[in-house]
Amino acid sequence: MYLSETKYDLKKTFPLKLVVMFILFTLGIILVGFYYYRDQRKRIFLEQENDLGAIASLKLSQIEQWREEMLKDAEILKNNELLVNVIKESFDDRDMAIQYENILKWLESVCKEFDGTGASLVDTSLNVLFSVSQTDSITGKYITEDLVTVLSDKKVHLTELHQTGIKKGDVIDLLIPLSDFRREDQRLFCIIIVRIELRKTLFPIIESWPATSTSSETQVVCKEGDSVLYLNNLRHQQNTSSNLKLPLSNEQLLASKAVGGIDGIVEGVDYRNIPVVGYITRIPGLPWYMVAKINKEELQAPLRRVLYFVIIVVILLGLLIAFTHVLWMREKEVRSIARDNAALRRAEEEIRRLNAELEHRVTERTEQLEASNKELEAFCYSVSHDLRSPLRSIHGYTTLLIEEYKENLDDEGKRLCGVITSSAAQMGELIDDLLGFSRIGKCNINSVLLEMDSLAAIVFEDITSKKEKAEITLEIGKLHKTYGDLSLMRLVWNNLISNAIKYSSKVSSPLISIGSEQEDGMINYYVKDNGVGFDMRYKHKLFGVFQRLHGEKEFEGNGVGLAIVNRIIARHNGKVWAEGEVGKGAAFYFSLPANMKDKSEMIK
Amino acid sequence: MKDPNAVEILLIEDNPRDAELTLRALRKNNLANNVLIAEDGEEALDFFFCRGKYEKRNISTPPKVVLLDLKLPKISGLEVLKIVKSDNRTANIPVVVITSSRQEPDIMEAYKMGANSYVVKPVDFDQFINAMSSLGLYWLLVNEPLKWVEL
Repeated sequence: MYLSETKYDLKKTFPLKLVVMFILFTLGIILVGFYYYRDQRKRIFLEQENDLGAIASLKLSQIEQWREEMLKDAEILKNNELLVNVIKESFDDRDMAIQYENILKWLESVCKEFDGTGASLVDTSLNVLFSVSQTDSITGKYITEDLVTVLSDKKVHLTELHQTGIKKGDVIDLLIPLSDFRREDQRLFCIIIVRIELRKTLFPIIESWPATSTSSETQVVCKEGDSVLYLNNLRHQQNTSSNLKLPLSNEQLLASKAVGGIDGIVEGVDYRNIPVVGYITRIPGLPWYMVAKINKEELQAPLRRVLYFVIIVVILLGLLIAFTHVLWMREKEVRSIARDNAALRRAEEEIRRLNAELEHRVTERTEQLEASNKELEAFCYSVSHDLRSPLRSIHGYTTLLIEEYKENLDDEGKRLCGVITSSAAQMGELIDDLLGFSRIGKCNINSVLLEMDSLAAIVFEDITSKKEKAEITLEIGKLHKTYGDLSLMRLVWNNLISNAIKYSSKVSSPLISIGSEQEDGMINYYVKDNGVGFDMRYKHKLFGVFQRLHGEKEFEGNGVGLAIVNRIIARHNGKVWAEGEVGKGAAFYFSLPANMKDKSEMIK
Repeated sequence: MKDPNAVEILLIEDNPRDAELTLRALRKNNLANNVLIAEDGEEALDFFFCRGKYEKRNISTPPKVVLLDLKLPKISGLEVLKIVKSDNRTANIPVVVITSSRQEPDIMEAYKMGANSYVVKPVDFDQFINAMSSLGLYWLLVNEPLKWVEL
């Protein structure tokens, strides 16, 4: 009982429909937020990719430009016939001092022109003839191959990056072959080697970043055995220029990916093992790769901002929905309460209206009843007055006839007159009894405490003659006291006792016993006699008006007595009944409520 | 016509047969010598207040008793009783209500209005004669009437 009530309340507070709706709304918002986040993430990544790609291609074009320019300048030098002829002349000059001075001067200017750290001039036998700021032998094994190539194809050549043993640093050598234009076959007569240090020339171009960023950098890497070599100076680690080598086995490394041939946007880690996103591109004309990278963290900062924004918006919307739901539910509840109230008020009004109508009808009916009661009273009055008056005339004048004309009447005439008078008298009694009976129905009951035994005894005393008293044996015990109307209850005793006397008058020793007993909240009074009794088959007729079980000749009476008893007892909320056997006597009972206190408990 | 000033019993009764029987009953006891019968309420009031055909009557010689039937044409017995009993000149005249009616409200009303007695006429003539004669004897011979005082 209690559990089900709680359940009901819960259901009432959180209707399933609303909860489901709330969940769906929230899910919808989360989903929208998720898609928005994903979209933003994609957009940011794409932006970053574009940025990185743009930077990479910018760098690339700068490198290209730098290289092209260098090669173009070398080509110009190579094809400068006048200059080359002068060089050749100096070269061929036998005066070693002049030769040396001129060529060295020129070589120095060439070195300067190409931002080189040094320059040498070798003959076709690859012997170094002249050198500027060149303490190191440049005719190492590494450069020899290139020189041989230049010898055969007579073209400007740029060597691979290599390291010099004496002066640390990454260098490349620009090889410019010079041909003898005066000869038919334009035979190559020497090669100029310009040593270019990347740290000073190229890397500053690469290392500059065109956007404000805290983690972005461009790395130039190349493969060296099982490792990847970082060529330029790194932003986050000092003195790395061609010093930092990391194993290729670290596949997450962007540099590894780069030398592994991957290009485009790639995710991975940098040399510090920090997650990064980078754009890899191969540098054309060189076995180098460029990685333009940015830390994932920096990349994700705007993404995180988007994420936070989305989360906050989702939470706010969720709260808003929850709040709206609560408000809605509250309002709904209020509305339903108002509806209930309105229904209640309507019902009340209806009840009030019905009550008023009922009252009106009761009043109307009461008026009708009062009117018909009045009519009945008027009728009784008429019966009482108008019927009795002619009866009295009949009786009176017949009596006068008998008295004043008795000489003229024979015996039969006198007997007939006697019949007339006795009939008139009987009819008078009948009318009296009938009026009495109807009076009991509407008279007021004045309830007082009744000593039933003395009342019965007094009644017996009143209605019996001396002769009867002598004949009848009266047994009267101690009767229960009760409340009732004195005159009506006297009438009850009167009728019952006179009946008992009447119907036992023909037995030799009449016995009348009067008593009472309490049973089931009722007091049962009885009057028993040993008279003629009655047939139990007709007991239902005993208490009806004008019902008689004996002939007029046998016992006189008009059949109103027991009907009056019945009516009086009924008005005292009691019951009457009788038992009897033909020739053995009869017992008449009436019961009255034992707890009857005063007239306030009487039903009128 | 009798001398209205000598009337001892005023019988107010519209039914001539009842009136005759009443007269006979009174006569049996020699009480019917000075009986006047008024046949309705109006005539009765004329007699009481010396109007109409009783204008020569002296109001200071009232009857010793009035026998009043309640059911009367024109003015009912209770109305007559009310008027008589509420007038100082006639209030002291003994009025006995004799009627066929056993109606309790009638009895109560009659006593409230100052009826001096209430008698139900029995149907049985012997009983009727007994009642009437004892009534007449009581009010004419036993009862001491109030002497008239001019107000």
